Amino acid sequence: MSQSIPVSWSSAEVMIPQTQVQPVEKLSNYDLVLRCQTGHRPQREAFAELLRRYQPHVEKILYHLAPDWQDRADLAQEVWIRVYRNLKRLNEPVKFQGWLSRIATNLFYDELRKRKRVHQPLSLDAPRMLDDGEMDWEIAADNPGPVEKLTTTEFYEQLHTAIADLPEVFRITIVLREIEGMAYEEIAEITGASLGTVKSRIARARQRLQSQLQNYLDS
Amino acid sequence: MTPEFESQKHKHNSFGDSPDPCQCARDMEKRDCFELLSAYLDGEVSATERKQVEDWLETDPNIQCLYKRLLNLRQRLRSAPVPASTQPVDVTVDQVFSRLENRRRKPILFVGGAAIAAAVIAAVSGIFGNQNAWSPQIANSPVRSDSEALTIALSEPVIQIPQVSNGTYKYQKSPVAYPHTVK
Repeated sequence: MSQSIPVSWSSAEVMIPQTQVQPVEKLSNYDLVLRCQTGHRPQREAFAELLRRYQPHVEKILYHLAPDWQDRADLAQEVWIRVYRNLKRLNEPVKFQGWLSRIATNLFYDELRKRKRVHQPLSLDAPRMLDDGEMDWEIAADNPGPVEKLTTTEFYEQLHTAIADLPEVFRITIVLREIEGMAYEEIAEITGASLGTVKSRIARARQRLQSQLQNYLDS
Repeated sequence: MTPEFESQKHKHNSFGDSPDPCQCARDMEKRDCFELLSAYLDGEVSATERKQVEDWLETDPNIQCLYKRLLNLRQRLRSAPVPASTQPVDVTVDQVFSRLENRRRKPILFVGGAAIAAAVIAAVSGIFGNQNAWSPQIANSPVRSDSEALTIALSEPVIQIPQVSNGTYKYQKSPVAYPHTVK
């Protein structure tokens, strides 16, 4: 006689906690930086997304700092290589953009020093310098007459030309202030100038730009 | 310096009750005035300086105009467009990772290359190893009888001792007893 023992199988649903990994595209900038900081090196997917989001910022900085350099794309890639290697050391992810600006500026300065070692530019068109190497306070611009009725595109072309025509130290200083939003102290540290010099350079650069673009700026 | 700003600084005493200091050192003053306004724009002024600039802005339409122009310049600078990149950003991503990969490989290639070179040298020296061409060798000399060598060496002094027969000075006899004198 066979006896069958009824066995009741209890079925239990095992709940495995699953952390939902958000796609990198949906992460906020802050979370994306955090994601890139996990692991020994940033994951490619997350880092690529970070690069996509901030590449315009890097391009903008380099465009204004080095308007006549043809190899800015190479320089931008070097910026990202430095970011990749050092991102882990960034203690405050919320300050990523400032940190990125700093890397781009430092890299630009490194490259500028290298190029100056190779050849010292000497131009007869160079703006008149005072004994201390400073730009004369009121220097006549090549094209001082303000252009009237400029279209927006034309205005930005004029603005770009006016910035590019500024003597190097003045251009760098005003770009660090206006494009990168750095404080005077930070600019002094990066450029190796005193606070007074930074203040003076910014004012002179503004003076030149506003006098060249006066009519458009007043309209 | 804009004319209106300059004229304003001359006619308007923005520095207090004393006579207009811009009259005394015009160039220096207009530089300082503009610098102060510029620094004010950046929030890089002391409390006293801020008060001073705010006084100007309240009372002087020309300085108001200049200040407005500088604000406009700032806004334009910040919103200035950047020419579109010549290459798509995904190409940049690929190139960055490619550069990173190349730099990561370099030390490996170097170590690998050194290892291969070492292996080649080892193999070559192994082929010619039987002839001991490159391996260091210790020179072997035939061993002589100690007593004979000693006798020859001692019976012929290395340095000839000069003999002075009639001079006042005579070398003293060497305290060493040579074999032949012993004999």
